[in-house]
Amino acid sequence: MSKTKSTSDRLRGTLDALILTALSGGPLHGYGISRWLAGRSGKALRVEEGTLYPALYRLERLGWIEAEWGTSELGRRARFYRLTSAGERQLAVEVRSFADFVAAVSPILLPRPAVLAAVRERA
Amino acid sequence: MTGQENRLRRLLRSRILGPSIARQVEEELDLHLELLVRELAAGGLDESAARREAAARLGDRRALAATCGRQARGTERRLRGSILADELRQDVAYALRQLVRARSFTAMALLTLAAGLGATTALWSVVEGVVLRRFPFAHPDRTVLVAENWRGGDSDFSAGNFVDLAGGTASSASTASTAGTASTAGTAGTASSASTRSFSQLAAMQFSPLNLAWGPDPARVLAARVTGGFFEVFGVRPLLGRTLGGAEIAAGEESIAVLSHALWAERMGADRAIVGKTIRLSNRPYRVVGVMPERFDPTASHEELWIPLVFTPAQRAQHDDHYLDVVGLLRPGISAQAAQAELSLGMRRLAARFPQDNAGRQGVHVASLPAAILGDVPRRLYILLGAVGLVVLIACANVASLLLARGALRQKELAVRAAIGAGGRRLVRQMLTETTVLGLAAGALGTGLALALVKLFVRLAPPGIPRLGETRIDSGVLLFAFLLSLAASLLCGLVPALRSARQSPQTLLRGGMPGEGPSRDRLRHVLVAGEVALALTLLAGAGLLIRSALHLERLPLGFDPAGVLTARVGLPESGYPQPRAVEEAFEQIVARLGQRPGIRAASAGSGVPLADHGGSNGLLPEGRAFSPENLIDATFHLVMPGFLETLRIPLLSGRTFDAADRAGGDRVMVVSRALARRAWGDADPIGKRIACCEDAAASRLKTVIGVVGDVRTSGPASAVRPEFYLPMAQAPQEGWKWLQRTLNLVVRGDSPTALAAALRGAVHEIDPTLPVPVVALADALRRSLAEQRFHTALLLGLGLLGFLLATVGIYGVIAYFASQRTREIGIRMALGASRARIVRHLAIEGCLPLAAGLLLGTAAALAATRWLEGSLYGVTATDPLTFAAVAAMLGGTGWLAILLPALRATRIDPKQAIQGG
Repeated sequence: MSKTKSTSDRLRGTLDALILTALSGGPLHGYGISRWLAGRSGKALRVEEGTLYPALYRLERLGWIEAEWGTSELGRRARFYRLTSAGERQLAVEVRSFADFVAAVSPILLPRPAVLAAVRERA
Repeated sequence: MTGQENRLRRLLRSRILGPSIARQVEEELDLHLELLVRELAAGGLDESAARREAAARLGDRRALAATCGRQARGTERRLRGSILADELRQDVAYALRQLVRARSFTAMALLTLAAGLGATTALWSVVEGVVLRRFPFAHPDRTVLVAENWRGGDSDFSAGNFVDLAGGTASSASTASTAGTASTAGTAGTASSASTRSFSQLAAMQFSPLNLAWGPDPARVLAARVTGGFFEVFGVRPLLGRTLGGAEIAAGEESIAVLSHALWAERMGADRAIVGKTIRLSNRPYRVVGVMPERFDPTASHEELWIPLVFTPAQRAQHDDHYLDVVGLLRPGISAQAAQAELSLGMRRLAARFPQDNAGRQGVHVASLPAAILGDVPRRLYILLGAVGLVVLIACANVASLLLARGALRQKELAVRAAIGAGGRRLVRQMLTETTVLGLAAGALGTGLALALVKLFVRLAPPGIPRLGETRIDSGVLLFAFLLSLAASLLCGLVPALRSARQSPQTLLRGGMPGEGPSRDRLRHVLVAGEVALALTLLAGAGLLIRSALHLERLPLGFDPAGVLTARVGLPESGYPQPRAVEEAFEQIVARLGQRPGIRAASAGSGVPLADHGGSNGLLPEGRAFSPENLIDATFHLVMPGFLETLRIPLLSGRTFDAADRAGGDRVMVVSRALARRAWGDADPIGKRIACCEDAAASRLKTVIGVVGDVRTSGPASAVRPEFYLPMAQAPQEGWKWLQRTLNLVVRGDSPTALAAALRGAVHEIDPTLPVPVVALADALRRSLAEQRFHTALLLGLGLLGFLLATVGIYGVIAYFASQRTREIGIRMALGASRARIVRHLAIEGCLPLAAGLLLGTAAALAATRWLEGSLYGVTATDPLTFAAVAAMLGGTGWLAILLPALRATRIDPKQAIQGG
């Protein structure tokens, strides 16, 4: 992974990292992942289904996650996704890259009064 | 690794065995929708509103499903790939374990295959280096050799014909010579004012042996005199300095020279400051202007330097004296045929203009120069390559039979593997992996062997194979070896692998007997017949060449080379300007030789069989009209007294020359039997008169005083040509010019070293600066047969190797199948069949495929030996004796190979055989 990423790479990478994080706790089906993300971000982060599923299939193709049929809470067949060891490694890479990004951007953005006000308001 | 593989396999299975990918995606999205509706409903929305909301959140479902499906299919491909790679890793590891365990089988198969693959790879690298590699010319496909067509055969050009045909190309050629850095090959065409439409360059060359004075020893060197444009035909940059410029040659510059790399490196110590220095060639100074790179030997004539060829006005007008080799560069897009048509038209015009000089000239022959240089070599090499390929096929058949035998031993192992879930295809793949690992290992081993074999081949090969020194194992050869190994692996492995996998696990586990049933027998028949056929083809070829070699050994040469030494000595024009001086010098040398102890006979002549062929001339028997059909082309010899006696060319009738045959006396001639027969049939030739050699009416006619035996001038493989001998004393003044003041001294005696010393001494007493290259005719005879012998020896070696392999193979196959039938034999014996009867049964059964193989092999050999025709003397390519002998040899050995295992098979205890299985 290169250190510098374009904006769309950044966004995609963030979504990847979020999904991988969601699965690091154990296997989940697609709906479960979206619930987990919503719950963790206090409903602030809603990943669209139109984005989530393509991402899942893409990550599976990359070999970072793998899917197997299991039984959902409704008693119906569901595809459960699980992190592979390659996925774990990738997660570490994404987290580090995100941390680097934050570290680089924070000194520029954070001292600005407008940003500070926005942060305070959200809090 | 296995855990990983099983997991991947499970994942893949769940994808393939379940519903289609599209259905799985739909199912997943349906579930998501359902769960979302529940959540929304739980949040207070009514059922239909929740459904609407959920559907909206999923967006364009069809597009979404399509995107997911695309990715899913990619995942499937990836899984398949990793499973395959995993299985391959496993199979290779398994194969290695198996091969290491079965040490004797592995060693046997490895050695058999490596020998065959190594020999094939070595020969392929020779073919690539000699035949297939591009010639080091700027435009090898447009570089041609041009010859006059004289009565359907190639002949050298005369200066007049060359100048008239080449027109501007020859005289004013290209303006720029090839200067140090820039090759003018590309532009030479436009620079020259060629008067032919087909050629951008045409150049003539004449080979002259000259005496080079440089350093302490005078040396005889072969120089090529070339017209302008010669270097532009090839477009090769000089290593140092420049080449000979067309313009300066046209301006009459004669005293410049370009050196070959060999001459420069060996005689001048690779002196980089050589350019500009002056060397002396036959007492004339030449300024060195350049040195050519190492492999520049454009016509494979091994000339050592190049000097200008400038025609005098008299030479330009001379159309009858044919001594020039002509090379040319075709214009782009012009075919050799088109060029030949254009020049032939011009040639016929010249024949009409000079009907006397150009009698019998029918046109020109334009041929690719690379093809002309290679000549017969590609055919011979491809024959060897084919023979070595047959050996590889036999080796493959042997390894296949070894694998079959091993497969039988491994039936239980395979059955267990099949029973625990390995599919038939998987088993075949696994077995093929095993043979491929074996084949590639043999290929690697064989490539190592090839490195040694190529070195050996290059060292042992007789001279005359162009570019052989450039043979090497390069990436192309390695690729060939790799592909060949793969092909061989597949060839030996496929049938045994399919056969093993076809057994059903149940029968095998229950201990059923493999090797029973008609399909087994068919396979045995095919293997035995195939090996016999292949070996027969090989041996027939080798046998024909041996018969041909025996024939050549028995052929009379027409002279006795034993104890004869010869030296070609040329006197420089500067020291011997007058013909009389040349003649006196040679007479003195021969006289001195005759007085030396240990010399039984000494003489000299313009040509010596095996060493120097001399020229030829058209002869016209007295009383016949001057027309091309009546001219007899015969090899011409100017000889000193005692020449025929020294070589022991037998006198058949009349007399040879004596002291009375002097200048001013009756002009006399001795003819060979072939010439006498051509000229006068069965009539007595003594006293007949025949015209030759000179133009003046008074001296044209010569009286035949004797007939001598025919001589095979170029060794036993050469045809007999008409020859005639003239006494040196009656040679015309210009005779020495024809001969370039060069004669071949011949001496006969017992001690070669004494003879060589005598030759050098006698010459150096007359002129200490003259080089004396001594050749023993016995050595020359050996050399003339060397190529033939080498070819025969190689093919014989391959034939014997194939024969040995095939015998071992047949024995192995029969022994294996006999051992498989132990139980059947036991039952038969228990039921009262006598041993003799069973042996007879087995032997007859074995003979069927043997006979089929002999028939098949004879047919194949009849088709294949056609390619040998050019190498055979005194025996036809379908010689029945050879074929019968080879078939008998193979049939006999094969029969023994069948009988022995049959005898052994019956030497068993029936009870044990039936119980033991």
